[in-house]
Amino acid sequence: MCRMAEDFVATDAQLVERARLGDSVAFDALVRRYVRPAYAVAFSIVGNRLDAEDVCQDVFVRVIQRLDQCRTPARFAGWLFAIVRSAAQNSLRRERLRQSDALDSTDAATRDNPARDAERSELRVRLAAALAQLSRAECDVVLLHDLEEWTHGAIAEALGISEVHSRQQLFVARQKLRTQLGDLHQLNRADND
Amino acid sequence: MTEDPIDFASMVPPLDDLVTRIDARCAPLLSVRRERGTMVQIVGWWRPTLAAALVIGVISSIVLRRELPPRRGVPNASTQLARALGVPLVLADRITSEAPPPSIELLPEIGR
Repeated sequence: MCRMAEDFVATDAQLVERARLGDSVAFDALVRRYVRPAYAVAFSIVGNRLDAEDVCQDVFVRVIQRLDQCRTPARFAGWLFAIVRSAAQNSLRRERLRQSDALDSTDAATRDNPARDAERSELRVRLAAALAQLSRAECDVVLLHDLEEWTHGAIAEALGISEVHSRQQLFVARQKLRTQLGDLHQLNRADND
Repeated sequence: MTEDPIDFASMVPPLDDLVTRIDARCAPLLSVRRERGTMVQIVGWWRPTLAAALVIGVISSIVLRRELPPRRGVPNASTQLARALGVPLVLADRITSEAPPPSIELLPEIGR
């Protein structure tokens, strides 16, 4: 099996151990595995793309600096998301101090279809706001399941919870998100179909 | 339906550029970790070796102490003098001692 394929199937614990020794391939595999849910968590707190990306960058730098503090490498996901939340909230605090109220003003979306872009932008903002209303566990589970398509078994292992708990969290999270999003989510599904 | 997954596609854009930036920022930190890892490996190799050498040293010294015969005493001054001058040990004893010879030892010599 080639190295890249090995990294694709390697467990978090294996990748963390290798990254601790400075293995850049293992660290890159961890980044690729978690950058999307980390970004989603950050975006749900800071509310705009540029800050969410900055938070992600800072978080992964912090991760490599503090990797020895990750006591249970098999639960890297939960540890990472806690750092993302903390960093995003700090970023938001700083942003509020600067009294910047531009929400998603630097979005790099295509401008070919302004009406569609506006709708997607609204969905993005509403989705982020709805995600921010979830508990930590609900947010982590729904992102890993619906965004990253993880199984409940993998989520349970990564977050240190039971599979039943993972299913419950997902059910509640989806209910809350649908209530918050309402018709907008239906429109988006139809748009994607 | 709560069974349908939530579509986060609109919220999460392609993040390849972000991954590249993260990797670039983390590269120096990983390099430091690699160097530290090498040092840890060297220390990890030296530690058991040093510990083993120490144990061998302690055991060897104990065994040698037990096995070697007790060190014989250095000949005293009288014996050395007797050997050097070729005189009887009694005389050498007398020479090295501070006390004068008793008259009972001197009488036979006077009588000769």
